[in-house]
Amino acid sequence: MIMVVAALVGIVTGTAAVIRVAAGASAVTARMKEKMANITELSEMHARLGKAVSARQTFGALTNCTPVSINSLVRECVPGAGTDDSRDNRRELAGGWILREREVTLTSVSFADMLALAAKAEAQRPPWQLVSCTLRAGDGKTGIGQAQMLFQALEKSR
Amino acid sequence: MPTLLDIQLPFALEDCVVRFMNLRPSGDGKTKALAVVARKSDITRRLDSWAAAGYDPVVVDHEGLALWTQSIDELPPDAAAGSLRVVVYAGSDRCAIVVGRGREFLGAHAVSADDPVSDIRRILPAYRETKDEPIAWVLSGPQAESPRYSGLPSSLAGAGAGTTHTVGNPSEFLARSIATRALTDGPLRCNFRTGDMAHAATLRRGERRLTVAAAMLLLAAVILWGSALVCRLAPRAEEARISRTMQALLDDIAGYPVVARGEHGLRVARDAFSSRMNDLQSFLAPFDGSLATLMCEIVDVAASRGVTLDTLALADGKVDMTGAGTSWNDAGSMAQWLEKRGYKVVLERMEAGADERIPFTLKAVHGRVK
Repeated sequence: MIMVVAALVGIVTGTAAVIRVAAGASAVTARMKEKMANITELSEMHARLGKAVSARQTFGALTNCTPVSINSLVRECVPGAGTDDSRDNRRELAGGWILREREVTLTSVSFADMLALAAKAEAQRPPWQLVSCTLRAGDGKTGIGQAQMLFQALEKSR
Repeated sequence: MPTLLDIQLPFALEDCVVRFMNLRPSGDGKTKALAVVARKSDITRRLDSWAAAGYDPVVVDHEGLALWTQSIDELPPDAAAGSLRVVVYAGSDRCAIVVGRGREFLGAHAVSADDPVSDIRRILPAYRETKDEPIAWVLSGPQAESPRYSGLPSSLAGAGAGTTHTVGNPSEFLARSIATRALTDGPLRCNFRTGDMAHAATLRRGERRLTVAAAMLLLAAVILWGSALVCRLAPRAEEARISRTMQALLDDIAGYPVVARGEHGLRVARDAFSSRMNDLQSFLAPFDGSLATLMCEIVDVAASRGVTLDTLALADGKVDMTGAGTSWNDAGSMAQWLEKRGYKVVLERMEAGADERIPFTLKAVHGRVK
């Protein structure tokens, strides 16, 4: 009889325990879903950061960390061109790196020459990366007009 | 039911052992059952006489029920007929009849061994549905094949024509019916040795069943508790693993061990990410795709589709262009080309100008731009 009573008590309390756990399961599930969503966000950030660090290491492995002069590239790719406006900004980054920005604005220039300039600039090591570009056709002239290009390059300070 | 029975008995119900069996609906919203009753004093007297002979029976059965169930087992009734059956036990110095219909037991009677015909003739009308209802006679007992009993059906021919069957080994019929019922499960099982008259073996069997039932209940309780424990601990363990993974990511992103927890820790990580990417983003630019290449491709595509571009601006994942095409679809094909590369495009085409070219304005934003 004692065994029966003990068993019945065990069943009742066990059932209550299962019900209680089941009732709390939705809260646990919601918490875990939120954490999984956070992990997804953090994983994306982590991956992007990892890519960026790896990219910096690639730059660091270059034997030459000084970009060539944009003006020399302009002279090379756009014959007879004189830059009407060329802004040169510098921003210091961590680890002794400098972010350089050069804006090149040319008028009455061949767009084919400008495309060649952009391609050549990006092919340098370290590259002058084309960040933005605006081409406006001239009146009545096909393939010629105003070109405004913004380049960025990374330089390691000595 | 005991209250209804008490009224019908010639003696007090408290002095009896009562068994209700074969409970079933009666069809008129009520319940009917078979009641088997024996006086405790009669049972006690029988037990004492058996004990004096050296017997201690575990089961004290009802003779009428025993004769009936054995006759049904050995001579199954025709299910379609539902005819009246009378089982006659022709003993050496006594006689009993059991009456039933189909498989249903109706009643049992002790009759005179000297003049069974008169008693049976008196008893039968209460069971027959019609005066001439045929009866299936089943003869058993040591005197079943004697002239007195074998001629019973024909003696009652005027009141009971039907079939007659004598069971195999009729002298052993009662013994094997009691043995069958004691050793097997089946309908109308009865044991008058209950309560304070219960046999020790019966009590032990009952206790064993109770112990087994209690053990099963205890096992069920253990399983329930175990399930509750597992359901509680497993998610916690998983949650802890997720938290550890999250902490490792937080520390890696921040570049140092992040002490803050929860939403605060996330904020620290996001701030650290923004700050670090502010410096590192520039290193990614050369690996994120060449704007120069895109520009060349756009110019080539425009040329191949007969589109002349007036302006072309590329920056921060956006493409803005104005121009004109020779046909209505030219600019549309430019838009499709950009859409295939993940851009969301808004294209506006105007009416053809004097040169019959279709001017357009196209603005596109790459899907990765938030």
